[in-house]
Amino acid sequence: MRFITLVTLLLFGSVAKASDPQQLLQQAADNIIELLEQNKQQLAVDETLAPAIVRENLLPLVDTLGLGKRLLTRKVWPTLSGSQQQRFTDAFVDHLINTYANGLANYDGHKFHFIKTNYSSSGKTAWVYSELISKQQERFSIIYTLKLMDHYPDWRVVDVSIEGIKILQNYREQLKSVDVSEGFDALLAKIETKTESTP
Amino acid sequence: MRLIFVMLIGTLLTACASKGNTVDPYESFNRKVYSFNRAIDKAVIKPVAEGYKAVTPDPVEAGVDNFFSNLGDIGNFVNNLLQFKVTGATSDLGRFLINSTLGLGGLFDPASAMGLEKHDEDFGQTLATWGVEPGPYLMLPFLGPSTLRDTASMPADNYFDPVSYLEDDSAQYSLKGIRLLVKRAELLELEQQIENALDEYSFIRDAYLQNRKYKVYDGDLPFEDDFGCDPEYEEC
Repeated sequence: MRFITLVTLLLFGSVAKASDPQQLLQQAADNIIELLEQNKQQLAVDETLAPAIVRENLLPLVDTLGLGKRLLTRKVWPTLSGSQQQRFTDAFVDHLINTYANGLANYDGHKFHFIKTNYSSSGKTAWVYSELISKQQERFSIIYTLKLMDHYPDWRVVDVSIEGIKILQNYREQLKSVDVSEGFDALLAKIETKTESTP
Repeated sequence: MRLIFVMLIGTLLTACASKGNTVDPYESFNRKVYSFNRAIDKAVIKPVAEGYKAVTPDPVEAGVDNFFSNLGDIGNFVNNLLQFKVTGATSDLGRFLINSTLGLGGLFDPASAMGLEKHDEDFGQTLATWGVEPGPYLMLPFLGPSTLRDTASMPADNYFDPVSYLEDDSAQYSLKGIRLLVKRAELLELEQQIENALDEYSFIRDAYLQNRKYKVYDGDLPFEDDFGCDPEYEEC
């Protein structure tokens, strides 16, 4: 009985310590916008600045430990060696950083508006609904999926849906065709080439 | 003409169907069409769209966008009615009336400032709300990604399009050509995302199919694959 009480306390304790997922994202968005506004001129000339901003402010919110398995799926992931798994994760993190940094370099007074958060019945998955509002008042729906996992002290983003397009599913579809036809080394080379070619 | 085109595509496709992929059974054929489209786009359409963006002052560009958007509200109105979304249809009709008059023939968009929401409906979405499944994915020459349902709905969309009723053929095709160019110019911002994709074809196919589903549900997608457990990642 005492054991159950202890486990319950520990479980609720860990949930209670976690931040509010919406606040977590709002804080990151505010920090990034502030940095972009402060460094407008430097961003135009220094290509390394936007990736550095993403690495420092967004990457800590992403489930990088589970990223490879999520992308390649649980069937393919265990077939890779430890070093292949690490190389894939590192290459994909760089690819993601450069892709998003490229988007940030086009920042032009956009605003993030956080709307609401829905939770799964277990309370360990959260969907944060938000909108990106352009200067011309165009609105784009962005929904973040976050999970509370044992190996992280706080919520981590596992997927993002932009105008209904779930990024995780989209990458899975792309990886399916590349992986099956060309093998691991070719896949890794492709990710690295695409990352390098990003301006 | 469009009907003949659709029938021709249908005949070609039956010869290339593969049993492997249920969403995209014509993948090998579709990939060839995509390569053709991309080549034409890079050689002709994209440079013209970039030129249009470069030489057109922003207010003029906004005016052209508004003009075609206003004509599109007729199709939005009819499709919202056919989907029994009366509030949406009323808003579309109000938008068209206000923007055609106060908005000087649709060049300005005072209706949005008045709080009348802009919709994005077409007959493919109407068929979907009536229960018609998307069917196989198709990459149409010149026109881009589609599905059998969305391709079959094109004649109806044409029927609801005021531009189709212009008696002067050259004026009609010029306006339709400009409209396509404006649409292409809007997509230029996504160019880097496409270039960055690990597989352009799969990137576009999945983005198209997911976004169509999102539009059918007017942005209110049900979470049927509740991410509480992701079967591709863990045992559920």
